[in-house]
Amino acid sequence: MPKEIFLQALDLHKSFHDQKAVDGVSFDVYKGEIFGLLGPNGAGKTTTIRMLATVLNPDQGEVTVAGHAVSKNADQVRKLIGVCPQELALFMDLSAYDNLVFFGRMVGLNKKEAHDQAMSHLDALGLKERAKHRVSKFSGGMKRRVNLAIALMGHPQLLFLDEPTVGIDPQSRNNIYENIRYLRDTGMTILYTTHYMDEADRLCDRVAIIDGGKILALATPGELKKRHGASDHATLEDVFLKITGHALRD
Amino acid sequence: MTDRLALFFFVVFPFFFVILFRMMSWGNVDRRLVLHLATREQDGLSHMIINAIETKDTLKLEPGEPRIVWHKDYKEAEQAVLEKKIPGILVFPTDFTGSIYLGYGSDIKIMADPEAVNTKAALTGMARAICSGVIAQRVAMNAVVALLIENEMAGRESDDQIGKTIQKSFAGQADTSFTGSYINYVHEKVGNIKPVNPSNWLIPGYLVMFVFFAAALGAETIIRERQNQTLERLIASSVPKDAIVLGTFAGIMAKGLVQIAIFWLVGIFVFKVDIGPYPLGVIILSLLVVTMSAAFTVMLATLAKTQRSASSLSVFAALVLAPLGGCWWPLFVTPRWLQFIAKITPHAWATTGFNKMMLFGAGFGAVVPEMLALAGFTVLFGLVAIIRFRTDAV
Amino acid sequence: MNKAWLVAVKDIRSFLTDRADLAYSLLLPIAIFALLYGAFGGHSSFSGTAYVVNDDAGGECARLLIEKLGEYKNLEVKVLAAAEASKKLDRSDITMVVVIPAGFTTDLVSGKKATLVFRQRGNGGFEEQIVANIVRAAAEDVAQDFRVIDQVTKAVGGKGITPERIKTTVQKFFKREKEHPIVNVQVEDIGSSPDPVGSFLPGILTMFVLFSLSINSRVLVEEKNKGTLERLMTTQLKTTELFIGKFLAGSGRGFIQVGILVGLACLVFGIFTPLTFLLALLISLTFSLAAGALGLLISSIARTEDQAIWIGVLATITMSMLGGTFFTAPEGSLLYTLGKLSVNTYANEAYRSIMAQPAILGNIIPDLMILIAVTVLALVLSWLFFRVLSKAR
Repeated sequence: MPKEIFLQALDLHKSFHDQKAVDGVSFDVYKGEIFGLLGPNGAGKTTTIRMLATVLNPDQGEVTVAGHAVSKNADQVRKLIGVCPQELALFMDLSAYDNLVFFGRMVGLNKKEAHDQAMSHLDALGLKERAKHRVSKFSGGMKRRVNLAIALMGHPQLLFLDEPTVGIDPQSRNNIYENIRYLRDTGMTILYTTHYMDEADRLCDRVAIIDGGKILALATPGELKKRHGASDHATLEDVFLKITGHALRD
Repeated sequence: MTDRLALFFFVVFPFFFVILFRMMSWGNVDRRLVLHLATREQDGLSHMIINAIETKDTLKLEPGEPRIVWHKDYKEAEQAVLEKKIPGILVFPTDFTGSIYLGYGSDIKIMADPEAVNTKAALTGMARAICSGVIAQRVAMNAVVALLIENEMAGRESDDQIGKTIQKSFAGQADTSFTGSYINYVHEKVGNIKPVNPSNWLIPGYLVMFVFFAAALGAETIIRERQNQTLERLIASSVPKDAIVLGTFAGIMAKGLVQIAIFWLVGIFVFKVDIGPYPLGVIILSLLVVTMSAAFTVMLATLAKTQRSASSLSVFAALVLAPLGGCWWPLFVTPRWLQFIAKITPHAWATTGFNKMMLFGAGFGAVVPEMLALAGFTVLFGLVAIIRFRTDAV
Repeated sequence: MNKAWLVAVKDIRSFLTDRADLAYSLLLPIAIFALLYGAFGGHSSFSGTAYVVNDDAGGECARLLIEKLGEYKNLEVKVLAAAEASKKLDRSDITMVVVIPAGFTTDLVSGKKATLVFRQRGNGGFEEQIVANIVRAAAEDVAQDFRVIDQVTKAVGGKGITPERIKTTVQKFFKREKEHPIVNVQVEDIGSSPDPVGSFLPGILTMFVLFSLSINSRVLVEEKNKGTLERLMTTQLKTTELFIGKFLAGSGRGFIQVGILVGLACLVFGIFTPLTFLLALLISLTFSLAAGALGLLISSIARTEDQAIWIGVLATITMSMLGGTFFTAPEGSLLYTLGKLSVNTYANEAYRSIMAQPAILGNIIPDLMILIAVTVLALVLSWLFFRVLSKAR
């Protein structure tokens, strides 16, 4: 059965003060897959995600989500997406529950729906006991989980996860992986960026390697290792370093 | 130094206040006191009194001698007070003469605008002098009568003689109490009044406020370093804890020193501030203000847990301590009890010291208590800071 | 619009649940008001200082004069050495010194005219002229004993009455007069009494609402820089809804703050009737809208949190100073004209007008209209500068 394209990025370009951040990025994301976007610091990952998430307007190119062009139907697209940004975008003076409910109401849920979903997500992410505590008192891992939970409010069909596990303990990370797999199994489409190659190898159905604002490779992790790996034991990290080089960035 | 807005706020902005206050035209206060009098009697003692003291020729007035104006129409005068055209008036009642001579007693009334405290004081002083004169006349008359009656009783005087003696002694002298003073008042003019320069108390007041404020906001920076663990990193590199505290302290002090240097230079050369006969005292006091503020900052950084609470606390401290401590208006214009309470603030000691030297020409010795107090505050804040100093972020 | 309302409610709830912020918003204005009231509210009598040089050391009349001066309420007497007094006069640290010359007592006792010298700069200064007035009255008091004795002696001279008898009789009558003076001074205030509450309360209210909102503008900048606002833009919240929500939040917060303070003032000072209380709330609402708009403008202009704080403090203190919080500028002066640029001026005028006398809505309409105009202007400017995304991102 031909796979349905849920997200299409077509020839995206974006510059900041003569600095080219994204230079002709094009890729498709199929419905129900976890699509990884890997790249070194400053490769253009976050800029790409922001354009896909309707936050930034591309200088050139088009983004389509479930047939809706972002440039023409941004409102419709926002109904379908959830965003978990790299930085912790939380209201620190609110409780975890209040953060979720607030964002839930912003995505169009009514009071009861927002409450039910908030409690459900908090439970799934192991935060139910601390639901009414202020987020400012949480550990880094807990804050990351709240950050993810907010993105899940409204049951988005497309989820953007921008380095969701950076700087957290293995337990929290494992919890997030389990939830991501569960979400994929329920049919959610996920676009995932990370620096952790083992993470991408474990989670992603397909991976695009981006550097200097361009897509350098796009395939399943297995295919990439086969195509670019020096040996049978080559890891995705080896492939990544081979494609992007060893030079320091930023 | 690279934050231009901060630089503007803490260095340039305070002078904006100085200019605003100066625009309130506090300048020359060498106007002559004018006292307004009226009487509700048609004739009699009050007329004699006012006539004796009224200013007939203003050109003949000595320097500092009040000009006394007689309002012939009492009703008009009262209306002028109500309309705030004149601040107040001294009024003799309708039956003044009769009441005095018949022994019933009377009241001289001061009618004034409630806010005209100076006018009330001046008119009250005049009224008391008039009362004193009337009483003196009455005592004189009573004493003469009493002594003559005593004499009559001793057979040395007759009724007729008593009457004649009294008439002879007091005829035409009702007003002499008010012109025939036993004291000669000499006015010796040593020069003209120099226009009041409000910058002499504004500059020190705002210096204290803004040096303290700038330093207190610096607590945020320290907390930021604590939270992003730069501070911890310093300690891990075997920098002694005391050195870190001192280094932080020195940095804040340096900022304060630049501030006070600019304040005084601009104050002296632009606003013509007179720093008094002992400039060294002013300099030492300024240094103590900077030191105390730096110590307060470090202490605040150890007490506040987050940047937001640090900035809130520092703004709170600045906005309550500054007016309480005489930064917005000189403490000596406030009631004594408030001046006493203000002593819990370092600001009060600082501004009092500056005012003593710059407004009242006090010597170095006179401001030693203020210097010691500021040094005491510095030690207190510093001790708290060192004891509480910690590196763990919130 | 429902989402705008949700944004506003969230922020107001944050304010009400943050005890530190709430205490700060309420206690600080109360503290400053108490300070101003204590400093200037009850001050209704003259106070001055009499600088005296006593060259008649040991002289009874000189001592008596200084003592009489000390009895005057609110007059401080400072005895200086001659050299010190000269120095202070030269420097204009003081503008008048009363010199009791040597021989003052001797002259008075012997029936000669004594001398009192006022060494002064110009007229001596306004306050010092009043002090001089008081000194003259006190000196006449001291001299009157001698003068009356002299007068009586002249009147009964040659009748065989001894000087001691004269003195005793005079003193007896003076004593009686002191106990029951034939003439007294009565001070009557006419016209409206000073009203410290009416003078200071409006200025403090408006200053701290503006202060609180302008300081709070840093929170919006913080949200912008941390990406929280950007996250909201990925939801169905529109930029206009976010803008309106933040404006409503700021104004609501300001209205709650000033409403509580007005309510407290009503309870403590009893300065409002039911009608004027409602008018006060109307003024509070209008001013809160203006202050909320200004707070939003600050957060739209500021790029960092520190900038937001400093712009906020600068704007608040300037507006408060020009707006009549601490002093009223004389009409026609430059300061008075500049005061027209401050929103506080109009709110303070409106509050004072309803506090001072029974007021009708018509009296405060012009002030309210200006506040509304400021609100609209600030909102327009804010919208032009409003950016959800931080420039750095």
